[in-house]
Amino acid sequence: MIATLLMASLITSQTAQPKVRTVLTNGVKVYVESTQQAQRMSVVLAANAAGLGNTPDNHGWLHLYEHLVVKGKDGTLDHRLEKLGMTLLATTNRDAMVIEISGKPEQFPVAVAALQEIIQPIAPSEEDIKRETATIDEEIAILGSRSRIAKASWDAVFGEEALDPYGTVEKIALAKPEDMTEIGKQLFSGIGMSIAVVGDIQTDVAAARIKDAFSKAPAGSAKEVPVRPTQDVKGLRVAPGARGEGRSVVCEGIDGTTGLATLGAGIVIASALSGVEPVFTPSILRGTVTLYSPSKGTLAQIDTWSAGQRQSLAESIPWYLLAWTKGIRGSTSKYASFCAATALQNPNLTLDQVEALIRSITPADTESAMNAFRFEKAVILEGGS
Amino acid sequence: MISQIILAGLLATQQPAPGPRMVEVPVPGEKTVTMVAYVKSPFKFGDREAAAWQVIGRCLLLGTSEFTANNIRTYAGQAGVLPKAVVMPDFIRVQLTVPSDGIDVGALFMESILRRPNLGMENFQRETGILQKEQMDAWQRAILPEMYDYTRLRPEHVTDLFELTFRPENFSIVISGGFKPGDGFKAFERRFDKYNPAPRRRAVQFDNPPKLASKHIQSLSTFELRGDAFAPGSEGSAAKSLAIFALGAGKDSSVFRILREKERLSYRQEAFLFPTQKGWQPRILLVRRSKQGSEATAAQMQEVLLKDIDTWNQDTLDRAAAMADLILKGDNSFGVVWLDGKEPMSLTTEEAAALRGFQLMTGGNIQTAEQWADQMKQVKLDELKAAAKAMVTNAAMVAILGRG
Repeated sequence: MIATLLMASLITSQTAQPKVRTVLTNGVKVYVESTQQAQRMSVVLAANAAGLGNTPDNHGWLHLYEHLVVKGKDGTLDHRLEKLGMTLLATTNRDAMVIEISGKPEQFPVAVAALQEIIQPIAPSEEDIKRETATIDEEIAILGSRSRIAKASWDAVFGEEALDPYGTVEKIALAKPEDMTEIGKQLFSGIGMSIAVVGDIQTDVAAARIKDAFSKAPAGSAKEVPVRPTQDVKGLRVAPGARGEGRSVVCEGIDGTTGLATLGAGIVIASALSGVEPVFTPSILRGTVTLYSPSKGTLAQIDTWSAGQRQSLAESIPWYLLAWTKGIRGSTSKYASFCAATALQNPNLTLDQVEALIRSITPADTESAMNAFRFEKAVILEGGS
Repeated sequence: MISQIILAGLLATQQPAPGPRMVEVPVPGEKTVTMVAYVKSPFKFGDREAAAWQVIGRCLLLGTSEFTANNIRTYAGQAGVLPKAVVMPDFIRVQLTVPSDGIDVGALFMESILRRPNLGMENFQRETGILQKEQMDAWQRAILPEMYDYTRLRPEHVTDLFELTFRPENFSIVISGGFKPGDGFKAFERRFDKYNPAPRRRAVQFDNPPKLASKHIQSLSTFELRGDAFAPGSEGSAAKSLAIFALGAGKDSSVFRILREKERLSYRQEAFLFPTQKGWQPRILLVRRSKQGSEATAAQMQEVLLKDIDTWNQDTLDRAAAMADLILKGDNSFGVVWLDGKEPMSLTTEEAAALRGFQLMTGGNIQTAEQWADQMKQVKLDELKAAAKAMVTNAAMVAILGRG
């Protein structure tokens, strides 16, 4: 009997599915995938940022919260993880706070425990808030031109509907300890969280562990999906504190060919121009793709291309998008971040589906995307001191 | 399998030039082939030569005598990796990835890029115009402080410098990916075996070296401790490398713990290994608002870091080795090894090839990133502390102040 049971569990683990996707009873979306990256695993928690710290009254409170919460319960979480050869990286963007923990496969339980620690309620002191406000003040002061140009493009296109994730120091300084506690409650609600695990792991064991660790989080209430209506932008926009120039295009979500074609056009155009970089955050929600150049006048070359030259470049768009997805797959942390972040808005979207969409991009999609970066259609930005 | 062959140029007439140094790394099952060529400057540049070097680098992927930029980009697109040219003050790197059945085409492109890039008037004027208007942020300027004056540059300065420097004896080439052993060398031998350019003499130089940035255009100041370069695999390199991981990798590193959290000197501070043709140059850099810093800040950095190094213990050694293992084997979130002037190297197969090319150019040991991490595990605590102390104590202090 015992032998039969043992054999059954062995067989179960040998035939475990390579991918597991589920939603816990409290709304947490879970995705687990076993990949070929030997000796690596990443666990990523993405928490929906909608309505938190991105209105004019509380602009930046979510960013402040991130600074406070990722140090762990006694401020030593980074130290404890790094001593084991693990890393923790937290970022806050317009859509979500994303917390990545990476390490060796056998460290998966440590990563889960670290995330559990992070989602516990915090009670920061006024002194903690003051200290981190000063840090954020410095962080904003040293923002590079690339970020400033991209921020200016968002401000122009979306206005107050989609404030930048950095915040305004004046508003951040007004946050109280109880405000931070409340943000945590809303942020780490079941409905607003998704967790992805990618790497050299056993999917069924990992999924069970995640369920055990996160099914007790309060469900919370459903979050509104940001609509992000766009504004009609005319004329040159100045990006304060930036150098160089930019061109920006509204980009629909990456769960459709239109959004993907726009992203691809940005990548390909940047590849054809000296010193130009594309700036974007892949999302299912509407956003922007911005081309940044440290040298004014470079982007004007876009307008000199003939239809034939544009078409020639456009033909490479699917290739470079597939290279982008290849890059995501090649890193457990990037892949897990992608899965966790997109699951917040579309729990069923997979990278395989994105790649299928890329392959179905039509010449009409690419032509339209390339044309969108021309002077008369794009948002034109210039650095100003 | 790594094999290293110095490919000697054919002995022909009176003064044969040595051929390119080459390494091939066949990787069974790989669907692409990456070719990386490093070109090192054979002498220190005057300021006009330094400007010409930048223009050469920018023009390399803008087409050749035989191929347009689009020909190359479209073909490489099948492998899904953009061609890349990295221009550093004392070397240039060109990188191309092609499908594995296109190794001969890739070698054809690479040879054309290295020998016959389009340095004509149109490219010259456009690229010098772009470079002349480039405004670097403080951080980027601190990384690459040389300032170039393009106003005195003429097309013949660029073509002359090209002929002086883009010679086989200055090339280090790595071919890595899905091909049979020997096919990498064959593909390039076909292209380079008769390449025997006549000797060229450099004109007598009256130009000063390029100016270094003395002020930032933003209201941000940067402060740096800049160490001496060491070749990969040279004596003591494992301890020196691990010292940078201890100083700079992760949030428990010295720069984060001490410079940011304890001394509140900055939000952004990094310690990293910077690529030069002599090897890895250790650099510790921070950026802060101008009104909060002075020339004494670099000295303050040195003082507080030396105090911290004195407190390093087995915990520090273990953490540094663990971070090196993590960063060089799988996760680049807190990378401290740079292969260009912008950011830490990633762990793609293309960058792995670029790392080998760098090692080949610097005459250092050819090893994988994983082997390097394993080598660092052998470093003892006293070796680590001694290397870090020497690095910080002997570093040059560089301050570039911002406006107002």
